[in-house]
Amino acid sequence: MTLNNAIAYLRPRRLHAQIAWLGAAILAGVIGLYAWSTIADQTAFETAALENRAKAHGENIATGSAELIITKRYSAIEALLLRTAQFPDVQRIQVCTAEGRVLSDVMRVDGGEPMPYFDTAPKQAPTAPDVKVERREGILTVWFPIDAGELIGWVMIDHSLRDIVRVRARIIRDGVTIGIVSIVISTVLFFLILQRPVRAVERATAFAGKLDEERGSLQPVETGSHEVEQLGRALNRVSMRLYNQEQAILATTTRLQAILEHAIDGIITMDAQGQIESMNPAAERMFGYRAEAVVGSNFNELVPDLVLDADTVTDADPLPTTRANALQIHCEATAYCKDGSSFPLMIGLSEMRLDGRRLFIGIVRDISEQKRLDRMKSEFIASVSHELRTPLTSLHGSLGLLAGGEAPGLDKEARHMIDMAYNNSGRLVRIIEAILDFEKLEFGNAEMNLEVVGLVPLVEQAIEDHEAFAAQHQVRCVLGNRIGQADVMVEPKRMIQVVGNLLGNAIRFSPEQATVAITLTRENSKIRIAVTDHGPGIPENFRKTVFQRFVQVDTSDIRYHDGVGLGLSIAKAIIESFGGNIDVASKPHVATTFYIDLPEVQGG
Amino acid sequence: MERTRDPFRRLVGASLVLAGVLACFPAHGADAKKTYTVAVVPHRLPLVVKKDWSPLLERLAASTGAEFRLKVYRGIPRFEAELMKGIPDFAFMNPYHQVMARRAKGYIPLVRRQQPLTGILVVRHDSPVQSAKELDGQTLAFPAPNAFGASLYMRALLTEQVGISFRPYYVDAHSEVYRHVILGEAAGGGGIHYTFSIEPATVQAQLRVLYRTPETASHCLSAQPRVPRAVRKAVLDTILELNDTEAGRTLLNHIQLGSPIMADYGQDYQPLERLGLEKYVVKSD
Repeated sequence: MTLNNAIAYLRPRRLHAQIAWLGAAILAGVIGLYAWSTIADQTAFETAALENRAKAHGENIATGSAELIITKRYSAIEALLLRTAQFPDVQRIQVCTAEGRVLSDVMRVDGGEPMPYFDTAPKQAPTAPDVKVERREGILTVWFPIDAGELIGWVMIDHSLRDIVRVRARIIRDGVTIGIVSIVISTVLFFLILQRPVRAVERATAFAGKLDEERGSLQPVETGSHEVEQLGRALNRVSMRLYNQEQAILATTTRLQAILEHAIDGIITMDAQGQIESMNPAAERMFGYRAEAVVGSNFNELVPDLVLDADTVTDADPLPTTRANALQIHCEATAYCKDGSSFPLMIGLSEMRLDGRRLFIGIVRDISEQKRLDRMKSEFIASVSHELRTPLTSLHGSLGLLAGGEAPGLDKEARHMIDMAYNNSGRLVRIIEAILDFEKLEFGNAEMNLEVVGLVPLVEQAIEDHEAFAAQHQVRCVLGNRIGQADVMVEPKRMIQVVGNLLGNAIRFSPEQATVAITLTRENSKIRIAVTDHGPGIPENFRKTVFQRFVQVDTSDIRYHDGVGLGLSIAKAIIESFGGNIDVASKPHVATTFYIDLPEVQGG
Repeated sequence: MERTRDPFRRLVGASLVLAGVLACFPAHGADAKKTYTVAVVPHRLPLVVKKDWSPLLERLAASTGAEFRLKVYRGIPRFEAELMKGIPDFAFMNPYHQVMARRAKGYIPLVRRQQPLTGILVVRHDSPVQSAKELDGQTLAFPAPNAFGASLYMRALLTEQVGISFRPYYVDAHSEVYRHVILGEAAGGGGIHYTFSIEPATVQAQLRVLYRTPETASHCLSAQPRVPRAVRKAVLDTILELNDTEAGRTLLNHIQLGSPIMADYGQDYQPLERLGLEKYVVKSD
């Protein structure tokens, strides 16, 4: 058994036993320290006293025996030694000559009466005539010189240290006795004083142990001790709060379960690797599987386009539990049913943390019908536009001839009306062409002849094309080229169209005498074309939709009706077909920047 | 004829009667103050002598109504000198001191120990000497020149019966004799059986008795003849009565008067006068 195991085995687990142990240990420690201190003090004191007694005995004998040595009165010396040896701690006394010859030797054997002894071997007396104190096993020896004008002998007294040992033993015995009595008394007092609170704590412990089963139950509160009373009241509060929370959770869960059960959209939860954990009935209907059949399967088995794994979502930024929608993905994908058929799916994927785990909630919607309606609408618009364009082109051409003076005799008012009709028919033609153009781009009918070309000439061409328009609005276009030359893979005509679209918008919304800045910069391996104006800008709530079809910013500050709201949608479609990206940053009434990022072609 | 009484004569007569009555009752206070000195031969240490004799003196004072003062000497010569002058009222002395004191001042022996006195000659237990003759020419220790059994009688016997010569060496007390022999200061030493027997066993074990004198009467407590007979008798009776109790016997053993009997000079000590020890006596100054 290791020391730790032994300590763990001996350590009591019950509170009252721990308190008793603690009290006993503290008492034992205090008494032990006191005993140790007393032993040290008493030993030092007794030793000093014994030394002093031994020296006094030595001095008495030396004084009394000097003449006796000279007159050789050995029995008188012996009598002197015998009297001194009556002192209880004196073990042996010898008087010897300066040369060490023992003249008298009195010794106490086994605690009996001191007796004279003879045949003692000569002593090795100290060399210097000074009092000398030696200590060896249980004996304190004092050498005292006998001086009669010169050193004539020595007194050697052995004092037993038995009394000091006895004092130590007595202190230890008393300490142990007092310790035991104190521990017993303190244990009894602890028991008597702590009996009620400890039992109350034990009842509270038992109550707490059953709280998971008996939530809402109450225990009687022990009022004898403040802490115990507070503990009892706190446990009762916890019990009631747990009960109320449980009821609330139950209601919420029931409500959420009902929502899940009756939601039109499918709701699927999965872990960070895409393992499906749950699926609501709507999703079951959508995919044709029972939830039990797909739980544990990977989501990409249902939606192969969307691969969800650890690489998709990094753990580099751990999310707090309360931050549910840390990662959100909205996309369209193709999903497959149990019977092997496929359907278009709109999926919104949100990330959340639950019990430290990273989970995803996927809200899925079958958009087959929406797709069909979109297609029908586009086809309708395209068909109508196509049917309108031919007569409109003819009408616009005829009006152009009339406006060009091909029909003489028209008065001024008629000419004005013809000019107005011509302009509006032109506008209609542009709208129709824009719709048809977008429709081609939207459904992939537009052919893109991509080629590697220098970007700067294209931008310069677009600026040149809009010089007259800029002059008309008293706006100045300034090119800031910070890249020198750069090659990109685009269709030049479409590229000029996009830059021109951004320039047209910037000029149109700029105040008079303002400047539109066209800046070319290089970031990483991409070229950025930024068109900045100082017009009213785009409010925050419009920024997300500004690139959508048929959207125009319409606020009290911005009124623009010269279009159908397809310009930026077309620009976005074109740029994305080049592998680039288009976006906007705006601070209303300060600056608005539309920027295009295109990958640079190296070594073109 | 009517006889007229003379008032003056009547007064003188009454005074004489009163004086006579008073004379018949000696002043108690004056008698209580009477102090007797008790001298003890110093063959043991003065302190030991005082310790052992003081209880007896207290008993004597109690029984006689007189005071007894112990006289302790540092050496035998001084004791002898005062004894020969008859200074002490009582004296505890050896047999030949009794002979000398009788001759000088008529000291009367009162009580002695029943056991006889035997002088002994001791050597170290590991001494190669096996007979007294082998000590011829050696230094021998004695307590005092006139200590009877240990010195006077012993020296006379060694000289006249054993036929050896030796250098006497006096060390004041019997216990000193034994220790001088043990420490090698003397080849042998004279003592008496009693003092040897009361030495510690460790001392006795270091010595071997080589020679013994014939038995004689032991030490006695004697009284100066000036001591009233009643006091002498009271002292004798007190000592004899002490032997009836255990405590009394212990007390008497300590002062060399164990098993006390009444002493008789003619029977006990007069024979010593015929031993011819005078020439071995050393006169004190």
